[in-house]
This record gives sequence, C-alpha cells and structure tokens, in this order.
Amino acid sequence: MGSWLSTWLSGTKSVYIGNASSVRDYRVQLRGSRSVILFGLYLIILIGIAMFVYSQTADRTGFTLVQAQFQLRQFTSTIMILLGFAVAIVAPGLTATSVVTERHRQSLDLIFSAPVSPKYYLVGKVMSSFRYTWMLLVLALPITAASVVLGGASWSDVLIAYVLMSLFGLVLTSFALLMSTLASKPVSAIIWSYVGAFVYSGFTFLLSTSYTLGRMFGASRDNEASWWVSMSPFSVLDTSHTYTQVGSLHVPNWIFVLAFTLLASKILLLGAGSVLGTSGGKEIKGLRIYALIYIATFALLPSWNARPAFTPVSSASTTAVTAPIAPVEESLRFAQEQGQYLALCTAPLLIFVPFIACFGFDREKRYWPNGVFKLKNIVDGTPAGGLPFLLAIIGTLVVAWNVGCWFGAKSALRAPFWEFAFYVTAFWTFFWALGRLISSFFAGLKTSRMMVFALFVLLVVIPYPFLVALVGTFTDDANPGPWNLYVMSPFMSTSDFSRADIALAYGLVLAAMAAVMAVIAEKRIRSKMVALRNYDVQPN
Amino acid sequence: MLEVKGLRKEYGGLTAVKGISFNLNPGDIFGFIGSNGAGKTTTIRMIATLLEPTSGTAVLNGADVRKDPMAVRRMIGYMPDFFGLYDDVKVWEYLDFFAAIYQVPVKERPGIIDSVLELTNLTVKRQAFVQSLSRGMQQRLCLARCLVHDPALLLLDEPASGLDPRARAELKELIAELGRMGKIVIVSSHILPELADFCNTVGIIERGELLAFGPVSQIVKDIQPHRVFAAHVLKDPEVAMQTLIQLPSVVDAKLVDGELRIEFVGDIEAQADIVALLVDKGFRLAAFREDSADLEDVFLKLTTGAVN
Repeated sequence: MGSWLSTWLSGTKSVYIGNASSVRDYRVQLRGSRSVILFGLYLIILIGIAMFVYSQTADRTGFTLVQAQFQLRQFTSTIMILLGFAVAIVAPGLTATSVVTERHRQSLDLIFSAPVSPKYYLVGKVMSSFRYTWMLLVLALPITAASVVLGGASWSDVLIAYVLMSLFGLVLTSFALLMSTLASKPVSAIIWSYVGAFVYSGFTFLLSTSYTLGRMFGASRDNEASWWVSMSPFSVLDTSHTYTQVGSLHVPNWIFVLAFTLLASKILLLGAGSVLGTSGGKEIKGLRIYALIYIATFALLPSWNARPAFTPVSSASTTAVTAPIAPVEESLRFAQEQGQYLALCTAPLLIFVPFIACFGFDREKRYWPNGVFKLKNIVDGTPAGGLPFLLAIIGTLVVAWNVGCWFGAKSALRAPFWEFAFYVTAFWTFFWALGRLISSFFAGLKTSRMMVFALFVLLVVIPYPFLVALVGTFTDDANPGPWNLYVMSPFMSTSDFSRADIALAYGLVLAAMAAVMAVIAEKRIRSKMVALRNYDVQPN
Repeated sequence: MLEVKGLRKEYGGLTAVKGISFNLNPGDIFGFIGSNGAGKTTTIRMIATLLEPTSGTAVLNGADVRKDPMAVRRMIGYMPDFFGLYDDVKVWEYLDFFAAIYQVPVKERPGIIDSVLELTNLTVKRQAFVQSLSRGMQQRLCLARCLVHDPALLLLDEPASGLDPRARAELKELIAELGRMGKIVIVSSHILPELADFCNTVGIIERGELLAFGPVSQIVKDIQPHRVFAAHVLKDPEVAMQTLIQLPSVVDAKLVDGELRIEFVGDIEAQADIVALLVDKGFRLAAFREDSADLEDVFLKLTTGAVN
C-alpha cells in the first residue's frame, strides 16, 4: 500500500509539477514581446469598455441609493460578461491547434516513444492553455477589484465568479483538446472547438436565464435554485450565491458546478487520451468505465426528481416499500413519460455510435473487425466490444432510471417504460449494425462514420418537416396515419398510450433489421480486407 | 542485449511482419535492408513500443516491449524517417524538453545537453532556433535528441535520406562512434553501400520475412561461396575461357558482356597462375580484377521486389 501510494504520488507530481510539455509551451507563449503586446491590448480594451460603461451612469444624478447600487452591480456584471467572452474566445483558440499541429509536424511519435503517457502529455497541454486563460482573469483583477471598491460586488462575489469562470474555461479547454486530438486539420479543430464553446455557452446561459428572469420578474427572491443555473459565466454575478438544499444543508451551487466541471473535463480528456493511446490502453478503458459511472449518475438526477401526478406510496416511514397505489391511467402515463425521457437521454449516442460501430482504415490507426460481440473486448475500444458496450450503456441507463424512480418517486416503473427501453435498445443497435454494414463496404473509417451520421439525419431528422408539410402536426385526437411510419413517432405524445405499442413494434422491426445488417456485414468482412489492402499497400 | 523473438504484426488479413527473430549485442550496428513496404518501419515501431505486436515480442536488457513498454522506452532512442522538430524553440530548449520527458534530473540536463551537442557537432548552434538549422544539422539534432537519456538501443529509420554527401559521411561517422560507445544501433536504409561500410550485421527483409541475417561478409559468402575475378581479354576470349577452366583452382568461367568471369578457389599463388597462364598462352590481357559480390548484389539476388 505504502509503495503504491509513493509511486502514485511521484507519478502525479511528475505530471502536474514541471510538466515538460507545459514548460515548453510556456517558453514559446511568453517568448519575445508578442505576449506583452497581446496582454496590453487586452487590458486596454477591457479598461476602455469598463470606463465607457461606467461613464454612462457616472454623470447622471438623481439616483436613489438602491438605483445606484443596481447600476454598480450592472457595471460589475458587464465586466464579468466581458471576461466570460474573453475566456470563451481565448480558451478554445489557444487549445484547438495544440495536438493537431503536433500531429502534422509528426512530433507525436517522438513524444510517445519516450516514457510519456497520454495523461502526462494532455495534462501538460491543458496546463499551458489554461494558464494563459487564467492570466487573462488575473490581469482583469484590478478592474474587478474596482467594482468591489465602488460597491458593485463583494469580494466573495468576485472570488466565486473567478472560480466559475475558471471552471468554464477548463471545460472549453478540455473540449478543444478533444477536438484537436480528433481533427485531421487545424482549421477543423478550431471550427469545432468554437462550435462546442458556442453551444456550451449558449446552453448554460439558457439554463441560468430561467433563474435570472425569474428573479427579475419577482418570481422568487430566494437563492435556492438548481445547481446548473450557476454554470454560465455570463450571469455569474446573479447566480454565484445560489444554493441547493441537500437535507438540511444549503450547499452552494458552485460546489456542484466544480464537481460537474471536473468530471466533465476528465471524461473529455480521457476521450482525447483514448484517441492518443494504444488500442486497449488504460485511457480507453478508463473512458468507458467512467462513462458508465457518469451515465448512471446523470440518469439518477432526472429520475430521482421525477414526480408522478398520483401519490404512489402512502408512507415512507417503513423500510419495506409497498407497491404504489395509484390511478391506473396516471401510473401508465408516468411510466410512458419516463420511458420517453430515457429514450431522449440516449440522444448523445448519435455521436458515439459511429465511433464504436465502425471499423476500417484511419490516418494513424486501423480498427480491424475482430468479431461481432465479444464481452472481453467491452472496454478495450475494438469493434468486437462495440455492441456489448452500447448495451452496457443502455442497460446502465435503464437500471439507474429505475433506481431513481423507485427511491425518488417511490414508484416502480411498469409496462410502457419497458417498451420504450426495448425500443431505444433496438434503435441504437440498428445504427450500430448500420455502422458495421457501411464499414464492410468502405475502407475509410471516417467515410463510414460520416455515412452513419448522414443516414441518421435522413431517417430521423428529415422526415419530420416532410411529414408536417404532408399531414400536419401530430395530434392525439386525429388519426396519426402517416406519422406512425416515422421512426420517432413513439415520442409524439405522452398521453396517447398506443405510443408504447408503436415503440414495441418499431423495436421489433429495428432489431430484426439490425440482425440482418449485422449478418450481411459479417459476410462482407473478407472483401473488406481486400479493400483495405488495396487502400494502403504500404502499411509502413 | 536485444532479443527479437518471433515478432509478428497483422493488420486484419494482411501480415506486415511474419515472425522475425534476431539477437543483437551491445556495440552491434545492425543494417536493416528492405524495399518500401517490406516491414522495416513496422518492425522498428514495434521495438519502439509504438505498435503492439500481434504475437512475439522483443526484449531489451530484460524489459519486454509488451509487458513493460515504459521500461523499454527509457532505454531506446527512436529517430523516425521524419524530423518532427519544433520550429519555435531553440536548440537547447528542444533538447531540454526531451531530457525532461525522459525524466533526466533538472540539474544534470545542462551538462548532458552540452555533451550531446558536442558529440553531434552542434555546440555553436546551442542558442539558434531549430528552424534556422540546415537539413544536415536538423538530422544531427534529431540524433542528439535520441541521446539525451543515454539509451542502450538506437532505432534510426532512414537516417541518411535527403542528406548531402558531406552530411551523410558525418552521420556515418557518428553512428560508428555510437557503436564504439557500446550502444546497439539499428539503422534502416536504402543506401546499401553505406550500410555495408559501417554495419557489422545486416538483415534483409521482404514482405515481412527476414531473408538473411548476419555479418555482411557471411551473407555475401552465403550467396557467393567462391571468389570471382573479371578478366578482359582482347582477342579470343572463348579460347581463353576454355584454357582457364582446365586449372584446378578455377571452378567455373563464363563470358559475360565480353569479359571473363572466373569463379575461383585458391590462394594468391593460384591467383597469379591465372594471370601467368593467360600471358604465357599469348592472350592480350587488358584488365584483371577481383569482382566480388557486395551487399547490393546480395539484396538483388535474395529479394524479388514484391511488397506486402
């Protein structure tokens, strides 16, 4: 135990202290006058905007004390929004090219022929980018301090805002690093990193808006709010003091954001590490195991908080939970809703299924078909482990959802939920089989992945506007008619219980098609090998 | 010591390396010869732990590339057929970076950097930016990078490609010096005469199979057991051929492109007898020289030019 601990400590120390990758980048970043000029420009712009905003109110008279306080707080808020924008622009920009340019320069092989793990390398990259982002925040400290002096914010406001801003920067840095690892060209890494930053910023801003608008219009004066309202850096001043009640404790939401951000960053970096690491390396194993843990955790959140319209259990004082006593229809509706939510929560699989299903030639790695379903490969990243891992994801989600509903709503999930669970399993298995089938036709891995994505759009996204134009919007009352031909029609209503039957029918059809496609793909493997040989006659 | 045991790499249906085995000792300079796609780089990358073997393994001083790749990495210096240099750093910073990732203690780094710069004749370029170096200097810097952690094994993949004759000669001398320092050096190259000059062992690989392995002289002897002399006789070479074949030291004689090719077994006296006989019989002898096979002949004889 002692030797393990000392090995772990020395390994961790070498990764985080004096990381060679970070030191090298630091030397380059701060070389010459480039950094001084950039930081100087940044400060001038920040001070200029701050003075402009302040001058808008400084000359005006006749403010009440409350109005003056409000104006000063608005001033601080503007500074924080500016900082948020600076982080959102700088963090992805600095990180997005870091790995992809090394790949272009062909220096990655040199690094990974040394005793360097992907973790060491990626942590170094995060540190060098994040340090620069942090410099921006530190340089802005005099201006934020001025807000405190003027009375627009307290020191604790500024401190929490800086923590939340740093966490925001960490997520964007980690995401950009993943994009940089995945992308084949620097420009695509930059574009995707900024798309990610835009989506994350927008999404978290929308989450926080529900709280800030509520307060603005007097819905609540209380600081209790869901933890995710604190994720946005653009409303950081309004949400920094929110809390979540856990038992009798008021836990500040920034602690939840801290936990979430660190976990999200870790999973993003594990994703990047699994791309850089060898097949079956500990990064990809870690990524898959962590993914299952996080899926279980995140499934518990909505299911634990799900509240049925009926009262499922008369008393929670007994340890043995009795079967729910509820109106049948409400109970059915609750189960169907939960099934639909579960299915919707699997939407991110759209990104992952092409990665775990497809095989073939990539620029650096070759993912060769090593079987259809092998449990022993479930975490090693090879194609044979793709289906087991996909089923493990859905299984984990279903189990966690049931646990959440059982302990949260004290309600066992009944039949319609299971129809949806089957449907969602068949749905993603269908796309997995489609990935294998396409891979058996194309040598290039990226082509196969893009084809799966394109077919998803063709089968799932495009039919919706087409059907709306053809038969109008789906309604429970009208005969759904052609809507039943749409693969997503099980989601079209929460009150129409025939949706569960439709889900079951679609599940059966999709499962059968998946089986057929998987068999055809297996039969084509041999010709795929020939194609791969022709694709790259010089494997050296 | 490096022991390569049945190293095999398969890519699905394609076998890039088919169970290669060989042993190398400290001080050995091993020339790895093969056409493009023969499996040289795949083998080198497996030894460098950058590719996982499908089966078989390589053991360097007791460390197995499959079981303990990190220990192997600490003992190898890998120089691929590309530079992979960072343009935006100085020469010493570049070496310091690699010394750091090889976990060379901070205090020892300046001394080590000075030593490898001196060895590679780059001391005057210590403060220069990497991008300002000539191609030959960049190649030497890459070699210096491989040496910062004093590796037991150097894997040099096509180190001479793209270098001018002078830079090539310098590199050759440097590699020979590394061999004298007791390091195992594996060099893959297309330039066969150069390899023959400084490699004490060579291996010829084609379609993933090691066709020949051993000292250059031994391999040459295997494919050409007898010494060969070429004689240029100005008149009646056929008659001269018939005359020479009577000698007990002449195993065979052929007329190739107007020249006599004489396969010969015997000492220097017997060699002199050939010349004396031709002169005594009145043949006008314009030239007489030994025409032994070299590495290129061996390579062309053993390989077919096929790739995987």
